[in-house]
Amino acid sequence: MNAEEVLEVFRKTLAEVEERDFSQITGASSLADLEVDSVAMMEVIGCIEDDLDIVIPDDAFTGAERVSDVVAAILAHLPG
Amino acid sequence: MSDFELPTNRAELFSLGLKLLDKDYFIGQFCPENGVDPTDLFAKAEVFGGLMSELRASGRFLFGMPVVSKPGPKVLIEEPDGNQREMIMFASNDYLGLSAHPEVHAAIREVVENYGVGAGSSRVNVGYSGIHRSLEAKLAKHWGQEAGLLYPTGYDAISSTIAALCGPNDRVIIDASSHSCIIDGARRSGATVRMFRHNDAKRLEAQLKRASDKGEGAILVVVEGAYSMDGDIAPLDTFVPLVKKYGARLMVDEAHAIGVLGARGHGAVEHFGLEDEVDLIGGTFSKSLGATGGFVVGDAAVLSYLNYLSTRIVFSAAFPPILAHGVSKAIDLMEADGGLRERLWENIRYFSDGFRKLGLELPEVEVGAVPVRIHKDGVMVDFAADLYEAGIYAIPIVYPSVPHGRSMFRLAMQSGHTTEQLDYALSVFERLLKKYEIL
Ligand SMILES: Cc1ncc(COP(=O)(O)O)c(C=O)c1O
Repeated sequence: MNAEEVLEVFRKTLAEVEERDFSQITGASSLADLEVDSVAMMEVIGCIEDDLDIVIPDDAFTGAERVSDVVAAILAHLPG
Repeated sequence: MSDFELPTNRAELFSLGLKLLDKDYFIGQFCPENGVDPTDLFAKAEVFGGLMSELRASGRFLFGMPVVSKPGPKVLIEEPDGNQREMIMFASNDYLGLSAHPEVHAAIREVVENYGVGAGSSRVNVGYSGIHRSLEAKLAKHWGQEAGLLYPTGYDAISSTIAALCGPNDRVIIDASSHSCIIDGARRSGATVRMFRHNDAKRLEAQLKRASDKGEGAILVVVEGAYSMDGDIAPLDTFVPLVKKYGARLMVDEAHAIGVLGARGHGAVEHFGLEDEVDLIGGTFSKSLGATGGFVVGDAAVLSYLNYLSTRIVFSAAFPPILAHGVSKAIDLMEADGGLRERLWENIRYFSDGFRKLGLELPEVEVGAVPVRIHKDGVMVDFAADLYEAGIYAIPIVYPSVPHGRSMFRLAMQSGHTTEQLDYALSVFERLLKKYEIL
């Protein structure tokens, strides 16, 4: 999986959990601007972990400010 | 030492104080950012303690001030300078006023001479008394379950049950508004923890489906019967069929529902008539039952397993048997009601209608606390201080307890609040809601 594919998974899962459209977000989008509260974000990450069959420790997202930071953290935990 | 300078603006000081109550934030972010010596275990505590003293001295940090009178709708609070102030209480979970009930006190007096004060040890050693046994039998019978099991506190009952039942191959699915004991127990178990949006059946099902697709271990869903901050109750009638559909188990923490919901005050499970459908029911005696201690009721074999494998039972002394006797009396009073729950609900309706008449938007309140949403984070400190000056003890709920922009006061109701007290509180709120341009 490359960064663009992971970003697409992130968009799709955000839309599933928040029931809103996130198709416009890019790696440069700021996480604060997404207006997803921290608990919903945990739900999103949990779903991604299940769908991609990976485990991401909580602290992998410490300091994340942009969507690209989240994508990078997910990529880092993908096998291979 | 830290080179951190405290904010001079008291609103900033207050919100910083609240942020610091999150240990992960304090240790993970605040300390490194402010040069607190990481090699000295106490260095952070010194910085923290300094900040807290300043907050308390500002008179704007209303947490943990000693109450120096009998509990009830009106109490005396002792201020840092020793001055005592009479306050109308909207922050206690003693919804039915049973902590101060003369019959509960008489019950405790009846047994204290014979049973002493402390249990002496853990209940798997010699801390289990005849009174504890009677209370367990009563809980089982009255809640319509096979057996009952007591824990030192409600926190222990819920967290230890989850931690003892689940392991690394399992999954615990919890509501996004879950109390700390649920999150703690789920994490301690080593299971995979998943959250779903508060009270949202669709999101619960999405989590159940993912869990079942994984097909690894067992699935436990834990929800609260009543959410005292959100002001709503779990839609258990919708959740139960979903949980069954995916072969999961359901545990309900009735902490804030006991005494408030159900024909006899047993909680949300009784309210929905689901006594035979829910796998485990847990709760606390520390709210409507006016004491302390926790319990779980359910299948006898499961409770036997929990009795020996719950660390909070095995490694902690049982709660005092005299309290178990008081709780038993409190359960009788709660079930017989005698108008206690009816008056609580009259007060909840009267108070929430009062806020609606003021023009505040308030959904139907389904629990024992009225959530008054202020939304403007910036005014909360001064608003809370003005309430305090007017003799109203109400806890401001701000970030990080709720997301930014969702600040509120959680006004816990009591059967014993008089109409005069509620009218007075409403008049104070009216004045302040206008002052801070919320209305
Ligand atoms: C939902 C919930 N569960 C458990 C508890 C803990 O109960 P106890 O005070 O008996 O530890 C509380 C109390 O804050 C609670 O709100």
